Amino acid sequence: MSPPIATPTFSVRPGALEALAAELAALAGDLSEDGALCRSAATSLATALGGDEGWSARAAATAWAALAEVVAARAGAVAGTLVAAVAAYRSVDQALAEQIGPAPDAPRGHR
Amino acid sequence: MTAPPAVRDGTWARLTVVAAWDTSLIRGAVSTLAAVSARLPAWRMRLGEVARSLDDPACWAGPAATGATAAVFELSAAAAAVDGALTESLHDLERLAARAGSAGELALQAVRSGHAAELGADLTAHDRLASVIDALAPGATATLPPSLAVAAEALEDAAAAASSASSAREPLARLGGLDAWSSVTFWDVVAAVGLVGPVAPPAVPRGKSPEAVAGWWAALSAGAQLAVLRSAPAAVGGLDGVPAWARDRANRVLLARALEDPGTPPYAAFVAAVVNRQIAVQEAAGRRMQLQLLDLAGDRVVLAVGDLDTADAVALLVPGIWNSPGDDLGRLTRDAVEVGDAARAAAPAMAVATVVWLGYRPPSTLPGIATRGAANRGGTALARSLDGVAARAVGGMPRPRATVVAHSYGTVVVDEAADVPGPLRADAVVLLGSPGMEDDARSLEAPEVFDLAAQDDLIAKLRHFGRSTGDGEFGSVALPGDPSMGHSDYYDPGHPTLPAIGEVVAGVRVP
Repeated sequence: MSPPIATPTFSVRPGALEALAAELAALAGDLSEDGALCRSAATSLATALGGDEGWSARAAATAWAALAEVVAARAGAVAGTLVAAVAAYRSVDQALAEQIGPAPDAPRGHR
Repeated sequence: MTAPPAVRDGTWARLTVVAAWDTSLIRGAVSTLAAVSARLPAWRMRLGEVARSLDDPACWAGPAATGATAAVFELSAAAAAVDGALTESLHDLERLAARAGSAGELALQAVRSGHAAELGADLTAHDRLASVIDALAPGATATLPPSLAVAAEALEDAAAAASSASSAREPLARLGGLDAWSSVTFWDVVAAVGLVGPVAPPAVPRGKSPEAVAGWWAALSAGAQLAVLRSAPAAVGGLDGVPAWARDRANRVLLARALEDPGTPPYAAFVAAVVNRQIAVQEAAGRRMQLQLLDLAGDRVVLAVGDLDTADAVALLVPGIWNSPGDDLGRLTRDAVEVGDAARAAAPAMAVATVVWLGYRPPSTLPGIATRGAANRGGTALARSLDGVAARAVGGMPRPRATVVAHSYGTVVVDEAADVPGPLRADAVVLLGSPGMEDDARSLEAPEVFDLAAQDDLIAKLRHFGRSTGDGEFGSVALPGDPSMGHSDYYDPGHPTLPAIGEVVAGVRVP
């Protein structure tokens, strides 16, 4: 006899999930802004130093920007996934509700 | 040896290039990068909170939840790696700014002071020219004419700056951030960090300062932090320097185990039940509670009312003799709640956390109550707890205002804490009903020292442990009281002392 297969438990609090998605999106925005600051610093370093030193320093600061931006972009993508998940749950729930139909009237008591 | 003209010209040209470096622009750019790096730990802390919330099945459960949670933990691990790389790179960039600043200034001096003549047209004698060129080479040991020492130093600093600029790229390259023109992807970072499979719990540091512990914790990804909490709650629960949320989580695991384990000794089980009930009562009243220490074997408990990780002001209430978690936690927690309420009344916009600090075992029998032994042990622990509160800054949060409010024998604990090597990390100390202090207020190392020795407080009158805090020469600022107060009335809402303590905790009472 094969062992029983565990069925997964489903539960979701859409409001909590939306709040987390919003926080992730905010985090993505903050880090993206910092990435832009790094790019600006890269330009400044190249201008201020010139030559090989300027090239190296610019490369370093640009790499800072690139790393900040990829992490920010990923945070934004995950935030988008969460938003999509909430929308999907709501959509499925609404479709199920429509299939099931309106609840029958509550039974009336005897007169 | 004959130096070729190109070298001679190159040396001069190099000096003029270095003299033209815009050192204030370099400093500004590096400051910008330093600010970005400084914000990243707090950013990661917020991301960690998202990860932990998603990990809670009460928020979201199911296969999709599992996948999304894993994605956020993966993101956290990548962010931790990026944070580490940026920190390492920043050290090189700061060296670059310092050495470039010095190089630019010295090169400018050299160019302006006429060294050009010696480096150029006047250096016609081959031997002299060769010696100058050799001496100007970075790291050269040849004797240099004094007039050229500045130029040599400028070139040495310039070489160091160039080396730092190059080094700054190395830690970034390890994560795939090779240079300005290659495009790194998130998956490059993931591949470089090796984020595959479950996170192995890192070893918990032992014997390190709270600041070092905070640095270790901040460097962990959210997944690694949870792995540590799951594998070693007993090691983390009492570890100063670990954020309050994590200690709370670890200690609640220990509390649950103690409550569920039929083998828990009767007294420990009783204390665990008291702690559990007190947390439940306060949380039911809408208060945030954080269990910061649960040492059932040592009969020690530290329980916070409020969020220690985000509070603007923190107060540690240190009780005196004949207090224990089992018998007195309820009353002591009420005191902590009332001190917190008083602080919020004094500064309504302020986030306040107050702590029942039973991080030592107050004596309850002779000769313990008459000696400094327990205070000595408690003082060491209290100083470390304060260091742990201050270490919050390592994780990117501003350091809160910290006040120690000590009652009775608790003031002797403060006395001993101040004797621990290193500064006492308290902004204010409040001494209530002290049975005597060894030295004066200044010896407590806190900028603000307040006291009250009530008129009818017999314990304070005994002065068993030293001089009275009410003695004008002690140097503390007296808080208001009233003639009817005795030794146990300092936190009583019916007297004027409690609002004054709240003002001290909030930092709005002028000494």
